[in-house]
Amino acid sequence: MVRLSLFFLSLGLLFFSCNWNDISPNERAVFSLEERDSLIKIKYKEFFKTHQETPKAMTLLDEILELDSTNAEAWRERSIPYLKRGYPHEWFKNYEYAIVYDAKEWIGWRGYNFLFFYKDFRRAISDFNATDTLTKDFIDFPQAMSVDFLRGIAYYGLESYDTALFYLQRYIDAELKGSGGLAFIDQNAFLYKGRVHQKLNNHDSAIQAFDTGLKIFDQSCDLHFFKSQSLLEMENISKAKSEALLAKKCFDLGYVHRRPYIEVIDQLYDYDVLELLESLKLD
Amino acid sequence: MVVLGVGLSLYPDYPYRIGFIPKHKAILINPDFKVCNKNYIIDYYNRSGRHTDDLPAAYIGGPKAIKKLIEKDYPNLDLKGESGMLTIRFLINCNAEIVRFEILENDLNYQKKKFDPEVKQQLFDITKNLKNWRANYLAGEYRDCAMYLTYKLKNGEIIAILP
Repeated sequence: MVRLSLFFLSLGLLFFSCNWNDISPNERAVFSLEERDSLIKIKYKEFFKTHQETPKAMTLLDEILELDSTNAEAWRERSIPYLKRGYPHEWFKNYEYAIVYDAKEWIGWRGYNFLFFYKDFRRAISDFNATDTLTKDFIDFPQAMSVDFLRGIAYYGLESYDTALFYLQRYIDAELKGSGGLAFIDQNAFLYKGRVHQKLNNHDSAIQAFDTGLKIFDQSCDLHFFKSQSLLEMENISKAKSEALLAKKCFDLGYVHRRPYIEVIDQLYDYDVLELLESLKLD
Repeated sequence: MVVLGVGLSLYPDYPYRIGFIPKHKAILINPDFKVCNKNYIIDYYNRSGRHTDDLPAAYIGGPKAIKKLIEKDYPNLDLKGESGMLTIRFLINCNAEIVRFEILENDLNYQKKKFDPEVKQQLFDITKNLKNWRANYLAGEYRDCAMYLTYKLKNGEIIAILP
């Protein structure tokens, strides 16, 4: 019995001896680079199995940064829980380090955050321009979106409509040339292109853009909705009515432009669709 | 032991998960509004990934509706030329009531700042009086969750309401 207890006690001691807090800062400092990197790998593996905002996840990131304070990915990961939960200064402060240590990798992604989470169009554009400058040989896709598409949206947010059109078109042209077809283009590029034309009072061009978007996805509430608005402006009431009804149908099916966490620019809600129907006496 | 949604933690630098608003640190407005399950408080956007009818928590009609409401119901709002981001964080309980507030003040360069107290108070009053919330519906039940609103101001104008 005593022998068995001793066995379990030694197991416990072994467990605790592996605990990060039991390794003194001096001992941590003498890791070889290989040892350090393999430890970081182990900690990342554990981190990715953990909910990102939990004390455990945050502590793992701190431990990684203690091993390598220049680890840009860890700084970036450390910023994200603050981004999603409304702590602007904590997000910004942590993300700054990711940029300091690996701007090439992370500056475009920060631009994405400025654009969608903070509607900070100027800073977003500055980051998109920077990522383009740092990687001249290819088009960047931070968070899986073309940097030109993102610049198009940011300039639209800034009400710089000509520049918005320039970048939206550059994204569309590059996709048509590179990937082999309209189907590979995000239909929302045509949504924003059409919106820009609407702001410039070019309703013919707006309708053309919305129609092209509808060739990619004909159940987009947004494309039908804004097309109906342009038709209404052009006093083509019967077509405006049919587009408005299609917008309502698509809205009810849930095919409306949304992104997780945030409200997109020009996001449509049920009251927008109902107002349009009402204005066309379709309520 | 860390339980999702609770502040019980073995990690000294992080007594709570990020975004959790502990009762003792919160501004409590209406003591009758309580969280339904103090052991399971999630975030507004959480989805289970397995239930197609999950719905994130939100103000019904989105930040756009809040902006419209402010324009309509608060014509005398005086933001005193302030610029910055005033973030009001709170919990939405499973009955879609808002409880436990905290306020964060930042300038437009993402640095901490102090807002004019009257501006802060006015935006806080607007927020705590918002009624049209939807609780997070996850895995077949309405849940308590953390939410925030950031009023982005430039020269006394609300230029955006986030997220």
